[in-house]
Amino acid sequence: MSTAMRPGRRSARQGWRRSRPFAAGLLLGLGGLELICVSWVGLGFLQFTGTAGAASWALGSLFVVAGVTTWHNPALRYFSGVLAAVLSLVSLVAANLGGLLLGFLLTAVGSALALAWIPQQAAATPEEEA
Amino acid sequence: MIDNDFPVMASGGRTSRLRFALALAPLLVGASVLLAGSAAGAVSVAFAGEVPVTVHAARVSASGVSASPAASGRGGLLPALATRVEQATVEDACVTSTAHLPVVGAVTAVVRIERASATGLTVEAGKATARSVKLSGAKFDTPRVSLDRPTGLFTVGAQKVSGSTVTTQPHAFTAGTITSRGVSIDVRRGAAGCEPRAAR
Repeated sequence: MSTAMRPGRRSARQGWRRSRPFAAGLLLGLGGLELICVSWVGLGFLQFTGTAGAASWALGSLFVVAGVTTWHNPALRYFSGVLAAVLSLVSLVAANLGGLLLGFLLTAVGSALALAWIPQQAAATPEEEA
Repeated sequence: MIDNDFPVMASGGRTSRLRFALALAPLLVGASVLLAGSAAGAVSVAFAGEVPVTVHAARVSASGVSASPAASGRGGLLPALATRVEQATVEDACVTSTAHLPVVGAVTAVVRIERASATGLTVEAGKATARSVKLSGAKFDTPRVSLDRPTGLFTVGAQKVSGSTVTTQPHAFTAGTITSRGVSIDVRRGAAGCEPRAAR
Protein backbone atom coordinates (compact mmCIF):
# COMPACT_ATOMS: atom_id res chain seq x y z
CA MET A 1 0.00 0.00 0.00
CA SER A 2 2.68 2.42 1.07
CA THR A 3 4.95 1.44 -1.84
CA ALA A 4 2.09 2.08 -4.22
CA MET A 5 1.66 5.54 -2.72
CA ARG A 6 5.29 6.53 -3.09
CA PRO A 7 5.33 7.26 -6.86
CA GLY A 8 2.16 9.30 -6.42
CA ARG A 9 3.64 11.28 -3.54
CA ARG A 10 6.87 11.81 -5.45
CA SER A 11 5.07 13.10 -8.51
CA ALA A 12 2.89 15.31 -6.30
CA ARG A 13 6.02 16.70 -4.65
CA GLN A 14 7.63 17.28 -8.05
CA GLY A 15 4.47 18.97 -9.23
CA TRP A 16 4.49 21.18 -6.14
CA ARG A 17 8.12 22.14 -6.81
CA ARG A 18 7.51 22.85 -10.48
CA SER A 19 4.46 25.01 -9.83
CA ARG A 20 6.46 27.62 -7.90
CA PRO A 21 9.99 29.16 -7.86
CA PHE A 22 11.29 26.47 -5.51
CA ALA A 23 15.02 27.21 -5.85
CA ALA A 24 14.41 30.92 -5.26
CA GLY A 25 12.53 30.32 -2.01
CA LEU A 26 15.13 27.79 -0.89
CA LEU A 27 18.06 30.15 -1.50
CA LEU A 28 16.27 33.06 0.17
CA GLY A 29 15.56 30.93 3.25
CA LEU A 30 19.12 29.57 3.37
CA GLY A 31 20.58 33.05 2.96
CA GLY A 32 18.45 34.37 5.80
CA LEU A 33 19.48 31.52 8.06
CA GLU A 34 23.12 32.07 7.11
CA LEU A 35 22.93 35.73 8.12
CA ILE A 36 21.56 34.69 11.50
CA CYS A 37 24.10 31.86 11.87
CA VAL A 38 27.09 34.13 11.23
CA SER A 39 25.87 36.48 13.93
CA TRP A 40 24.94 33.59 16.19
CA VAL A 41 28.09 31.45 15.89
CA GLY A 42 29.93 31.88 19.13
CA LEU A 43 27.43 34.42 20.36
CA GLY A 44 25.76 32.31 22.98
CA PHE A 45 22.04 31.90 22.89
CA LEU A 46 20.07 34.99 21.87
CA GLN A 47 22.72 37.55 22.62
CA PHE A 48 22.55 40.64 20.50
CA THR A 49 25.74 42.55 20.01
CA GLY A 50 25.09 46.04 18.79
CA THR A 51 23.01 47.15 15.87
CA ALA A 52 24.61 44.72 13.43
CA GLY A 53 23.60 41.78 15.63
CA ALA A 54 19.99 42.92 15.68
CA ALA A 55 20.12 43.72 11.95
CA SER A 56 21.34 40.19 11.22
CA TRP A 57 18.31 38.73 12.98
CA ALA A 58 15.86 41.20 11.45
CA LEU A 59 17.19 40.85 7.89
CA GLY A 60 17.55 37.07 8.23
CA SER A 61 13.94 36.78 9.39
CA LEU A 62 12.73 38.92 6.49
CA PHE A 63 14.63 36.74 4.01
CA VAL A 64 13.02 33.62 5.45
CA VAL A 65 9.60 35.27 5.22
CA ALA A 66 10.34 36.27 1.61
CA GLY A 67 11.36 32.69 0.82
CA VAL A 68 8.24 31.23 2.40
CA THR A 69 6.09 33.82 0.58
CA THR A 70 7.71 32.85 -2.71
CA TRP A 71 6.84 29.22 -2.07
CA HIS A 72 3.39 29.76 -0.62
CA ASN A 73 2.16 32.39 -3.05
CA PRO A 74 4.20 32.49 -6.27
CA ALA A 75 2.02 35.33 -7.53
CA LEU A 76 3.87 37.55 -5.07
CA ARG A 77 7.28 36.53 -6.42
CA TYR A 78 7.99 39.98 -7.84
CA PHE A 79 7.26 41.63 -4.50
CA SER A 80 9.32 39.17 -2.48
CA GLY A 81 12.06 39.14 -5.13
CA VAL A 82 12.45 42.91 -5.24
CA LEU A 83 12.23 43.11 -1.42
CA ALA A 84 14.92 40.45 -1.06
CA ALA A 85 17.12 42.12 -3.69
CA VAL A 86 17.04 45.44 -1.83
CA LEU A 87 17.55 43.77 1.54
CA SER A 88 20.51 41.77 0.22
CA LEU A 89 22.26 45.04 -0.57
CA VAL A 90 21.31 46.41 2.85
CA SER A 91 22.77 43.32 4.49
CA LEU A 92 26.16 44.17 3.00
CA VAL A 93 26.47 47.30 5.11
CA ALA A 94 24.23 46.41 8.05
CA ALA A 95 24.87 42.77 8.88
CA ASN A 96 28.48 41.63 9.09
CA LEU A 97 29.21 42.27 5.41
CA GLY A 98 26.18 40.28 4.31
CA GLY A 99 27.04 37.34 6.54
CA LEU A 100 30.65 37.30 5.34
CA LEU A 101 29.42 37.72 1.73
CA LEU A 102 27.93 34.21 1.60
CA GLY A 103 24.50 35.33 2.82
CA PHE A 104 24.50 38.16 0.31
CA LEU A 105 25.33 35.82 -2.57
CA LEU A 106 22.61 33.33 -1.58
CA THR A 107 19.92 35.99 -1.23
CA ALA A 108 20.99 37.90 -4.35
CA VAL A 109 20.83 34.77 -6.50
CA GLY A 110 17.56 33.74 -4.80
CA SER A 111 15.92 37.08 -5.49
CA ALA A 112 17.11 37.03 -9.11
CA LEU A 113 15.67 33.52 -9.52
CA ALA A 114 12.35 34.69 -8.06
CA LEU A 115 12.21 37.55 -10.54
CA ALA A 116 13.27 35.33 -13.45
CA TRP A 117 10.71 32.59 -12.87
CA ILE A 118 8.03 32.39 -15.55
CA PRO A 119 4.89 30.33 -14.89
CA GLN A 120 3.57 27.99 -17.47
CA GLN A 121 -0.17 28.47 -17.66
CA ALA A 122 -2.25 25.32 -17.68
CA ALA A 123 -4.25 24.70 -20.80
CA ALA A 124 -7.88 25.55 -20.26
CA THR A 125 -10.26 22.58 -20.21
CA PRO A 126 -13.14 22.44 -22.71
CA GLU A 127 -15.60 23.01 -19.86
CA GLU A 128 -13.79 26.22 -18.86
CA GLU A 129 -13.70 27.40 -22.48
CA ALA A 130 -17.43 26.82 -22.74
CA MET B 1 -2.46 43.77 -11.00
CA ILE B 2 -1.45 40.66 -9.11
CA ASP B 3 -3.30 37.57 -10.17
CA ASN B 4 -4.20 35.82 -6.94
CA ASP B 5 -5.71 32.89 -8.82
CA PHE B 6 -2.29 32.14 -10.25
CA PRO B 7 -1.45 29.11 -8.06
CA VAL B 8 -4.56 27.32 -9.33
CA MET B 9 -3.73 28.02 -12.97
CA ALA B 10 -0.01 27.29 -12.94
CA SER B 11 1.03 23.78 -13.85
CA GLY B 12 4.73 24.45 -13.95
CA GLY B 13 7.27 27.06 -14.73
CA ARG B 14 10.74 27.78 -15.94
CA THR B 15 13.52 30.23 -15.21
CA SER B 16 14.33 32.70 -17.93
CA ARG B 17 18.10 33.06 -18.20
CA LEU B 18 17.75 36.52 -19.69
CA ARG B 19 15.56 37.71 -16.82
CA PHE B 20 17.92 36.07 -14.31
CA ALA B 21 20.88 37.92 -15.76
CA LEU B 22 18.95 41.19 -15.91
CA ALA B 23 17.89 40.82 -12.28
CA LEU B 24 21.29 39.74 -10.97
CA ALA B 25 23.43 42.26 -12.83
CA PRO B 26 22.16 45.39 -10.99
CA LEU B 27 22.60 43.58 -7.69
CA LEU B 28 26.20 42.73 -8.41
CA VAL B 29 26.87 46.26 -9.64
CA GLY B 30 25.28 47.67 -6.48
CA ALA B 31 27.30 45.33 -4.30
CA SER B 32 30.50 46.31 -6.11
CA VAL B 33 29.72 49.99 -5.57
CA LEU B 34 29.01 49.40 -1.87
CA LEU B 35 32.19 47.37 -1.37
CA ALA B 36 34.24 49.92 -3.28
CA GLY B 37 32.68 52.68 -1.20
CA SER B 38 33.49 50.77 1.95
CA ALA B 39 37.07 50.27 0.80
CA ALA B 40 37.37 53.98 0.06
CA GLY B 41 35.98 54.89 3.47
CA ALA B 42 32.79 56.42 2.09
CA VAL B 43 30.46 53.73 3.40
CA SER B 44 30.50 52.51 6.98
CA VAL B 45 30.03 48.77 7.41
CA ALA B 46 28.51 47.53 10.65
CA PHE B 47 30.08 44.49 12.21
CA ALA B 48 28.97 42.76 15.36
CA GLY B 49 29.12 39.36 16.84
CA GLU B 50 31.15 37.08 18.98
CA VAL B 51 32.73 35.27 16.07
CA PRO B 52 36.34 34.34 16.83
CA VAL B 53 38.37 37.19 15.45
CA THR B 54 42.10 37.78 15.51
CA VAL B 55 43.30 41.30 14.86
CA HIS B 56 46.90 42.14 13.95
CA ALA B 57 47.76 45.82 13.62
CA ALA B 58 51.09 47.49 12.93
CA ARG B 59 50.04 50.69 14.71
CA VAL B 60 47.12 51.44 17.01
CA SER B 61 46.15 54.76 18.53
CA ALA B 62 43.13 55.43 20.70
CA SER B 63 41.68 58.12 22.92
CA GLY B 64 39.31 57.97 25.85
CA VAL B 65 40.28 54.45 26.86
CA SER B 66 39.04 52.66 29.96
CA ALA B 67 39.40 48.96 30.72
CA SER B 68 38.16 46.76 33.53
CA PRO B 69 37.84 43.02 34.18
CA ALA B 70 34.61 41.47 32.98
CA ALA B 71 33.11 38.16 31.99
CA SER B 72 32.35 37.25 28.42
CA GLY B 73 29.73 34.61 27.81
CA ARG B 74 30.26 31.89 25.24
CA GLY B 75 28.73 28.67 26.41
CA GLY B 76 29.85 29.71 29.86
CA LEU B 77 31.66 32.61 31.40
CA LEU B 78 35.14 33.53 30.24
CA PRO B 79 37.27 36.11 31.98
CA ALA B 80 37.86 39.06 29.71
CA LEU B 81 39.07 42.61 29.79
CA ALA B 82 36.26 44.92 28.72
CA THR B 83 37.76 47.96 27.03
CA ARG B 84 35.77 51.02 26.08
CA VAL B 85 37.35 53.31 23.52
CA GLU B 86 35.84 56.60 22.43
CA GLN B 87 37.87 56.83 19.25
CA ALA B 88 40.41 54.40 17.81
CA THR B 89 42.55 54.24 14.70
CA VAL B 90 44.45 51.24 13.40
CA GLU B 91 46.94 51.20 10.55
CA ASP B 92 48.10 48.30 8.44
CA ALA B 93 45.75 45.85 10.10
CA CYS B 94 44.77 42.31 9.26
CA VAL B 95 41.59 40.78 10.66
CA THR B 96 40.86 37.09 10.38
CA SER B 97 37.55 35.58 11.35
CA THR B 98 36.72 31.91 11.08
CA ALA B 99 33.07 30.95 11.21
CA HIS B 100 32.04 27.31 11.36
CA LEU B 101 28.91 27.33 9.25
CA PRO B 102 26.43 24.52 8.90
CA VAL B 103 26.88 22.46 5.72
CA VAL B 104 29.71 24.63 4.37
CA GLY B 105 32.15 24.01 7.22
CA ALA B 106 34.87 26.43 8.27
CA VAL B 107 34.97 29.66 6.30
CA THR B 108 37.65 32.22 7.01
CA ALA B 109 37.36 35.85 6.05
CA VAL B 110 40.69 37.67 5.87
CA VAL B 111 40.30 41.43 5.80
CA ARG B 112 43.36 43.59 5.23
CA ILE B 113 42.91 47.23 6.10
CA GLU B 114 45.28 50.04 5.31
CA ARG B 115 43.68 52.37 7.83
CA ALA B 116 40.49 52.15 9.86
CA SER B 117 38.92 54.32 12.51
CA ALA B 118 36.10 53.46 14.88
CA THR B 119 34.03 55.40 17.35
CA GLY B 120 32.17 54.12 20.39
CA LEU B 121 34.13 50.90 20.39
CA THR B 122 33.69 48.31 23.14
CA VAL B 123 35.92 45.25 23.03
CA GLU B 124 35.88 42.23 25.31
CA ALA B 125 39.26 40.60 24.82
CA GLY B 126 40.85 37.67 26.58
CA LYS B 127 44.31 38.15 25.11
CA ALA B 128 46.33 41.05 23.76
CA THR B 129 50.01 41.45 23.03
CA ALA B 130 51.98 44.48 21.82
CA ARG B 131 55.62 45.22 21.06
CA SER B 132 55.40 48.68 22.63
CA VAL B 133 52.67 50.71 24.31
CA LYS B 134 52.65 54.41 25.14
CA LEU B 135 50.11 55.89 27.57
CA SER B 136 49.38 59.48 28.37
CA GLY B 137 47.01 60.66 31.06
CA ALA B 138 46.90 57.20 32.57
CA LYS B 139 44.83 56.45 35.62
CA PHE B 140 44.22 53.44 37.80
CA ASP B 141 41.30 53.09 40.12
CA THR B 142 40.40 50.37 42.61
CA PRO B 143 37.10 50.89 44.34
CA ARG B 144 37.48 49.91 48.00
CA VAL B 145 35.05 49.08 50.71
CA SER B 146 37.64 50.34 53.16
CA LEU B 147 41.34 51.21 53.09
CA ASP B 148 42.46 47.59 53.33
CA ARG B 149 39.52 45.96 51.53
CA PRO B 150 39.38 46.40 47.75
CA THR B 151 36.24 45.26 45.96
CA GLY B 152 38.30 43.13 43.60
CA LEU B 153 37.58 45.07 40.42
CA PHE B 154 39.77 47.76 38.97
CA THR B 155 39.66 50.23 36.13
CA VAL B 156 42.62 51.24 34.01
CA GLY B 157 42.21 54.28 31.84
CA ALA B 158 44.16 56.67 29.68
CA GLN B 159 43.45 59.77 27.71
CA LYS B 160 45.61 58.58 24.84
CA VAL B 161 47.09 55.19 24.04
CA SER B 162 49.33 54.19 21.17
CA GLY B 163 50.88 50.83 20.47
CA SER B 164 52.81 49.02 17.78
CA THR B 165 52.59 45.44 16.51
CA VAL B 166 49.43 44.72 18.42
CA THR B 167 47.67 41.37 18.32
CA THR B 168 44.42 40.71 20.09
CA GLN B 169 41.68 38.12 20.06
CA PRO B 170 38.47 39.85 21.04
CA HIS B 171 35.60 37.68 22.27
CA ALA B 172 33.04 40.30 21.40
CA PHE B 173 33.00 43.80 20.12
CA THR B 174 30.54 46.56 19.38
CA ALA B 175 31.25 49.63 17.33
CA GLY B 176 29.12 52.65 16.60
CA THR B 177 30.72 53.18 13.22
CA ILE B 178 33.77 51.76 11.51
CA THR B 179 35.28 53.65 8.61
CA SER B 180 38.05 51.99 6.69
CA ARG B 181 40.33 52.76 3.77
CA GLY B 182 42.28 50.42 1.55
CA VAL B 183 40.34 47.28 2.35
CA SER B 184 40.88 43.95 0.65
CA ILE B 185 38.67 41.02 1.58
CA ASP B 186 39.42 37.39 0.91
CA VAL B 187 37.04 34.61 1.88
CA ARG B 188 38.45 31.11 1.83
CA ARG B 189 37.42 27.70 3.06
CA GLY B 190 39.16 26.26 6.08
CA ALA B 191 40.72 27.94 9.09
CA ALA B 192 43.56 30.08 7.77
CA GLY B 193 45.31 33.04 9.30
CA CYS B 194 47.02 36.23 8.20
CA GLU B 195 50.09 35.56 6.16
CA PRO B 196 52.83 38.08 6.78
CA ARG B 197 52.62 40.94 4.33
CA ALA B 198 55.41 41.28 1.85
CA ALA B 199 58.18 43.57 3.05
CA ARG B 200 57.63 47.12 1.94
